Amino acid sequence: MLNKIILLVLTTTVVSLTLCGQEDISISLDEIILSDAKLEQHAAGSKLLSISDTLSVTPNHTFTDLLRYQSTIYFRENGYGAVSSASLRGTSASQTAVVWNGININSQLTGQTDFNTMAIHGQKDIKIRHGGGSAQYASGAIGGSIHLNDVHKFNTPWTTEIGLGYGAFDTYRLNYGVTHGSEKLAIALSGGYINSKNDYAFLGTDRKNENGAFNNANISISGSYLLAQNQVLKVYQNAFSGDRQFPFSLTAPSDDKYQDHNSRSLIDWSIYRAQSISSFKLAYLYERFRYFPNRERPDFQQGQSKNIIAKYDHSHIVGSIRLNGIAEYNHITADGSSIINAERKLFAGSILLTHQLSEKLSYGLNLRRELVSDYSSPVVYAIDSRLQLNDQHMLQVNASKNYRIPTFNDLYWSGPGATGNEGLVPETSMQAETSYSYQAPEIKISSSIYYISTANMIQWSPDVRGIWSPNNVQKTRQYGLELSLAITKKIQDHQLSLNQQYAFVRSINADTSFDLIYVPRHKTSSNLSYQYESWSVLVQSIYNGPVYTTTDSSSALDGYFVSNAELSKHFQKNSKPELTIAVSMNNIFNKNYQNVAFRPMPNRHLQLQIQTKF
Amino acid sequence: MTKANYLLTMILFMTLAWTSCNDDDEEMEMEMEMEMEMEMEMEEELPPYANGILVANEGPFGSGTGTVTFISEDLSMTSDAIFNAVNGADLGNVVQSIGFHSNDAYIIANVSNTINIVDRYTFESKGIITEGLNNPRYFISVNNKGYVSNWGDPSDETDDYIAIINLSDYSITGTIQVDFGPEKMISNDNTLYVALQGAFGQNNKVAVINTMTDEVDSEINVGDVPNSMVIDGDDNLWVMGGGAPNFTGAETAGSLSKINTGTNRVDNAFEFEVTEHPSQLSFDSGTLYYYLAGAVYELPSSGMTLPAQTMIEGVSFYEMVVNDGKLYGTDAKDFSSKGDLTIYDLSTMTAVQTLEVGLIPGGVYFN
Repeated sequence: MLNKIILLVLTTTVVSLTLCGQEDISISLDEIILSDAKLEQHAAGSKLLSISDTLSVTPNHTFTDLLRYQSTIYFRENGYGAVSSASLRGTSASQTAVVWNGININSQLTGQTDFNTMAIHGQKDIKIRHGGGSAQYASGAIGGSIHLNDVHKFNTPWTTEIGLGYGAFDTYRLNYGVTHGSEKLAIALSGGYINSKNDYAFLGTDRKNENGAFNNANISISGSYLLAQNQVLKVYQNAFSGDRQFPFSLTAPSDDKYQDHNSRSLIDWSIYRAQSISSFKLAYLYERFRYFPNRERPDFQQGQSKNIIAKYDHSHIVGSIRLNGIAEYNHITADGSSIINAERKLFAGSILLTHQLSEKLSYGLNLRRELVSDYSSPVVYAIDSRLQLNDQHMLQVNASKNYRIPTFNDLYWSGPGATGNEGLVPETSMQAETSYSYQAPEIKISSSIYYISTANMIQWSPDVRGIWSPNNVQKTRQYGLELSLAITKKIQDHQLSLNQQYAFVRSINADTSFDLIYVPRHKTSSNLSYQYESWSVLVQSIYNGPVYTTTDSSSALDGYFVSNAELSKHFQKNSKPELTIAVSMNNIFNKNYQNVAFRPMPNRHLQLQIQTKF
Repeated sequence: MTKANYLLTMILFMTLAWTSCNDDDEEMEMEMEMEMEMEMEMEEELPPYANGILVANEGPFGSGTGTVTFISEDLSMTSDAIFNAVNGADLGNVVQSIGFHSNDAYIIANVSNTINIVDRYTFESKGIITEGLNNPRYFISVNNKGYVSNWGDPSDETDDYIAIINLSDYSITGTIQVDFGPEKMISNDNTLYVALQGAFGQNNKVAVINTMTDEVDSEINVGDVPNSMVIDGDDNLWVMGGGAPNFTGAETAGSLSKINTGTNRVDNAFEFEVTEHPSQLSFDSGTLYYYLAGAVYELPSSGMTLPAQTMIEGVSFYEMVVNDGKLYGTDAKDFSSKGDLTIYDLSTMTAVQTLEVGLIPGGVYFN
């Protein structure tokens, strides 16, 4: 996909911007079309995994499902569609950063991203960067970071895609996408809507998932415009609005619901010169939630935050060295039912350096320093290296110090039975990892081992008066292994591909030596697809190992193996309008499983999808 | 040795290990059966939970189940989740409290809106109430009727009530509307006193209900957030008020009110400091005990001033009960792991023993 884009861009106006006859490093086309080009440039020692999220048919209808079935990330989902937090490498939910076009978008209130408040089908490029990345992506990039990038293509005809879906539990879906690129302007627009009664059966009982309905809408508009031969203006806007009830558990009824509203805006103005790029970014992030303890009643608790970000980024190439300096200013305000007009000003400076020592060997150094108005932040850094032995074999190592800042809730909460602690400091983490990967035309293998040690973990606990507040108390450590295997095989008209991921992790409370709760020691995900002429079949499965549900390992939840299957038929391939019809069956073995204790997940169910492109 | 051979040997070895394990299992099963038979013979003499302590464990909020732990009288044996062990079912979400009437125990699951009724000594299920409850809190029997305090919606100040229960068929026969947030209850003859604590908000009253008519006779004004009550040897009702907490923006002092049950008027009221929020009022042989900020205090029921001296310090009690010369304090720890119960000898104020119980132990009762 990216190759095609680069090819397209190459043949157009932008070709004049590319620098012929550079020494070892040159400005790549990625950094013109992507707002977050650093993801690839300054990550010599980091493992990147691409997730495919096209507008095409898929058995995964939520962002949680998309990542769950294609990566080693595991989720704590409080019933299907309800609050869902991600965790990478055994770290906590707020130790995985979500980065949108280069901007960290984790909630300022909770420090996490609820993956069921993210829309699928909007982001054309999703990458998972395993391991620490705070020097580049700031708070929360400890276990790793998830990168969502909008991609723009110049000189492409108008393309419209429309998808409709209907399935079990009264689930309706609509997706819409338009892209166009002229010589000077490239735009992308996408929208999606999903509405589900979500009343799946609780297997082994005569009950259903009551009070579990949800609906959400998402719209995303972005574009790149060539202001001059060497100037690009990029604009991105994303808005999400969701309304969902909180489902019954096996033992408890509920009548509460949540409304989420998030909006993100970004303007990026970049100037390209022979040896350098300057870019100025201005972003505005807004989040708001409303919690209704009883959805029949009008009263609710609410919280919101507003984050204005100004960023100046200058990168310079001197021979085989790429040097990048970033200055950033954030002004964040938050208020709500339990937070009264809190404010934070943050100034950060980073230096990123990549040195291509030889054709085979490169290394990088990253450094970030922050001055923050309401807590003291550590200097974070990373050092990494890549040895590209030949076309097939690559070795990577990295070591880094990373952090997770106290959230507005942690610092300023003032509500029933709980109070924030303004004396908190960020969680700090040291880690090291090494990876090996092998690449051949039909096979890709990669393996990584890592060790993470985190101190000053922010933990909420009750004091002698019974009032909960957070303190920097816990120490944790994680170590683990990740393996991935991708095989593609084409024999005449038959095409087979397998994508297999496996993760082993031990995640331990260093004070008690007990496992951290809800971290499976083993997780696998696999996607096997087979295409023959206009037919395709996809079978995807995950195994999520047993997890402990109490901090003293006294209660555990069984592991589970769940599979989905999809059959699709493409009509009029390569002639317009393209049409695809797909039937998917999720949980084909009708497995009775729980992702969070006492919250059953959906039984076997069917979905029908129709997708057209013209 | 080739790889295939090695694998084969491994498989054979594992199969052997497996079969030999099975032999052990059979032997063990036989032994266990014999043990069980012996236990059953003993059971005929005395019900299994006849002498000892019952601890109600709330369990995780919103999902999962609460449990009841049994501790034998000599503290030598602890049995977890006895309701499930006997009946093969769960009690429900957030086991708030247990109330008793003759041989019956009424186990209240607050979030599940359920009361399981069991024989208190065998824990065999005798019935279940699933209708007519809305955020049930506590059970008490007075005048041969059962009374259950219900919050309704915890933010709604007008939907709170006491459900009246027929003690022979466990049906709900009526309700009594009360003011905001009915919590603990205590009785004196046919009079029922209900602490109106205020659910998710705050209240400052005790409702007086005549169980002959099942009507609210009067309300007694006490300090903010009445959280526990006892009746002393002279029929005085003592009400501990926690005071409004700091987060309300209008923090008020804790208080201890002494009420004459003949007149239902406050005879004496003790004020704490504004930042002091006492709880867990208990009474044993002429002495009142309460918990305040990690310490236990005692006060003779004839006392005229609040004590300055602590009796036990450096504890974190989620629930505290005094019974027969001993003090029982539970620690819920981080609320995500098993809690424990520590028993103190009141004559020496020293800890006798600490026992592991269930998740969030919030009630201690004596069989």
